[in-house]
Amino acid sequence: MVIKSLHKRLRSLIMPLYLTLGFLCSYAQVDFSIIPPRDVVAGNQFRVVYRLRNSQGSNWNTPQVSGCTLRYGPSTSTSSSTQFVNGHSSSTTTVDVSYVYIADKEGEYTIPEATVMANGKKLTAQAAKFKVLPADSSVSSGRSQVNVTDPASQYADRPIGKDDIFVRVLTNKNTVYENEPIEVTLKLYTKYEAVTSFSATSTPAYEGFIVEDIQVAPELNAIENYNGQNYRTAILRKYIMFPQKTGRLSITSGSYDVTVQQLQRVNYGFFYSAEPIEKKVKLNEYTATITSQPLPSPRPEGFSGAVGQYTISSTLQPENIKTGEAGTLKFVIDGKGNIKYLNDPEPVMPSEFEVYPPSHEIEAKVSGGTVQGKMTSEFTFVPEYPGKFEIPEYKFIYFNPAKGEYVTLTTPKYDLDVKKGKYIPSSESSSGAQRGAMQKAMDIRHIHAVEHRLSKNHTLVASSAFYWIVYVFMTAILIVFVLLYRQSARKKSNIGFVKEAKASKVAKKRLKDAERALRSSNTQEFYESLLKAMWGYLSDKLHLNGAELTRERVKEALFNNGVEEQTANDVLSLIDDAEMARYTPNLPELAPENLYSKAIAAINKLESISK
Amino acid sequence: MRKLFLAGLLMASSFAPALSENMATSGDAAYNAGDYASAIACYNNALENDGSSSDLYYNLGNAYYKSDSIGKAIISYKRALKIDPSYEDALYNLSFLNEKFNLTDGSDSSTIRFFDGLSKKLHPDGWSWLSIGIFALLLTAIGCYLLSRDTKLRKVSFFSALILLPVLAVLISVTIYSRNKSSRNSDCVVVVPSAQLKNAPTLINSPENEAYTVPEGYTLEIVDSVSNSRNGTSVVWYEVTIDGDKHLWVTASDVERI
Repeated sequence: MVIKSLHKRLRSLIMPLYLTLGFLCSYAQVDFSIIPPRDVVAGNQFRVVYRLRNSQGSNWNTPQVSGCTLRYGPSTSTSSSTQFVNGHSSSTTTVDVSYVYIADKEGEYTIPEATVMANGKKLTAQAAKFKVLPADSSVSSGRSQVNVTDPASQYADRPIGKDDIFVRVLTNKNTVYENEPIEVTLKLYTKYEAVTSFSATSTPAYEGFIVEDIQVAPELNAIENYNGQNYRTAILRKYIMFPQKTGRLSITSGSYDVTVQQLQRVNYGFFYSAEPIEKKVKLNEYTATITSQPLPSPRPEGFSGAVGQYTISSTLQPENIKTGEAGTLKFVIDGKGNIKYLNDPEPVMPSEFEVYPPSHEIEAKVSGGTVQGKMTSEFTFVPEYPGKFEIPEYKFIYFNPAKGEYVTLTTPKYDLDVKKGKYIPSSESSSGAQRGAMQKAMDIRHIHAVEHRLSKNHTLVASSAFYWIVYVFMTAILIVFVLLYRQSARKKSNIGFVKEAKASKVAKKRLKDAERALRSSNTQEFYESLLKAMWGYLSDKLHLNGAELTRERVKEALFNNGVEEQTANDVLSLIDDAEMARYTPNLPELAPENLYSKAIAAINKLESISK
Repeated sequence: MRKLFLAGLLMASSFAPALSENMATSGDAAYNAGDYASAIACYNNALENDGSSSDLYYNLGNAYYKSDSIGKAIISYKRALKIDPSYEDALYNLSFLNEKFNLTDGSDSSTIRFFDGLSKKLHPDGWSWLSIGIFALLLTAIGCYLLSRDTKLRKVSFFSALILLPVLAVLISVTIYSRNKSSRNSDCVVVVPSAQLKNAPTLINSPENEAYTVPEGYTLEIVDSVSNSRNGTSVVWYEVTIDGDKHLWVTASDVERI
């Protein structure tokens, strides 16, 4: 009895019990259930309990468990409890009917359905199954072994062996593909149920893995038969690991310091008792090795790196989009595997779209030895130009390790008809697309594969004397041309001009002859000289030759030269007078002196005009 | 395979001088086939035997660039531009290289930049003929002014001459600038991965003597050259200007004249 209570006390040390939880919600609800035994080892006694709550049963029908030997029973125990929660009281009564059996052999047994009459109703408890573990196989040394279910074997006089308490690393697969998840469990096996302290001296080591830690509360639970021995086990840690390398990879448990309790016989003189004493044990590292094999080669182009089982879906919103408005293309990858480490899909977007980096969202949780969840990747894009555009289908390629093959999933292709919106692409934002085009074109220009005309001499026109000679030569040409032109013009108009220039001189000279004749009173000669002087003067002055020298032509020429009519008439009348006086002399008004002075006046007047 | 191809080309070139004209064309073929080393060999062969052209230097520059000889590429482009300063593709590639390898060509005054920009628009001979043409027009205008008796024509030709005179002055200046640029041989380009510029033409390595390090492809202007002989070996040094007023020295083996 001492041992039993002790045992219970020790168990409560390492097992947080939440016993009350189950009763809190139970009002006066009547139920009936079978509580199967735990940790049954062949050859040991165990107890099967039929529990009825909140009623006093009658007509218990509890068929025997076949394959097991009933030792005693039934024994009935009744308990009740009352609780006050927030002023409400609730009470529970429990009736346990228990039978003690012995299992003869290992195996799986079934406790058949049981019925009971309670409150005038027949209640049925579901059949329950339990396992019977084989008894510890004996070792050849013949020495009795520590038995997990037999505290009597846990006395302090025996040393704690390597086989009595140890840590193992368990993996659910031994050969995996790169990135394929493995479930790794660190488990403590102990024959001593009383483990009072447990601390890691070195942490578990796992090189070449990405690790997903699963939270577990270490707790001693089921008895497990390992290597023919029964142990109480506790899951220390649980991981999902994704191998990142290929080859043989090891996972090491780390080492631990453990304190277990043994019993010591104490002699009280009259009786013996057993007292617990603590013993420290160092647990060695345990290393599990797994083989990580590379994904089959060749990897398909566009392989995403995903290993597992996935589905992909995509949605595009909105269907009708205008320039300058934002649209979204959403990919959802759902499945199990290395989902947490997936890269975003890389859809090919038209270069006329301004595409922003995708939002990346992962919801994943550990379940069933792998990581399950979904990854959402949302691309926001803004079309900058109207027109018809196409977002081609995106191929998501993943590796299915169960089948050992690559699987390609394809999302649909989208045709977009972008309408013109209010937005006008600004130079800054459109330069993004242009910059892309620029960068593609960033190289030197191509060679000129022309017909090569090679020359050893590359003299420039400007470096030769010729260039300057051309200037001098052209200037010289101009000068010569000007000179020649002037000369020829002079030649053409020389006589007339000279005559004109000298006209008055010649005329005055002739008038002098006339004056001389006047002084010598030779009137006939005077008139002739006077007329000669006048006609000569007019001929020279007006550039008229002898044949043209008529009264009309002279008059016309005088007018053309801008001579006033009065003056012209004066000149002409002077000539008329002189002609007349030549043939009819002695007219008093045509006196030679008179005509002479008139002629001088006319010439002077014409000279002054022509100037 | 590549060497065989090259050897075949070289043999073919030695057969007849008529064939050697094809060396440049063979170089083009090698370039298009991606065999830049053979292309360089062919172009250089053509340069040695048949003379040059702006296209040939341009293609050679491309081949050097493709085989990562930046200094040589820049020299080739500059030689092409000496023959034809208005060679647009060579100007483009040169500025592309300058930008890519961060080689600044130095800044000039605005006047020089004006002439420089103009000189890139036309071949120097083009400027020569243009200036001669404008001069002929000017002379015609002067002639008309001097000889015509028609007052209107005289007025027009007078003002034409007045306008043509400054135009002619600019044209002749550009012609002379462009000619000088084409015929100047005081520039050199660094052909080693990096050249040390020293304060004095000696090989002494002291912190005071090391003034500058310039990258491959950098253009320097040679002012003077000296030959220092020491222990029987003579080293030729060029005195170069950098940043306009600094006078430094560089070994001739580090650079190549354009």
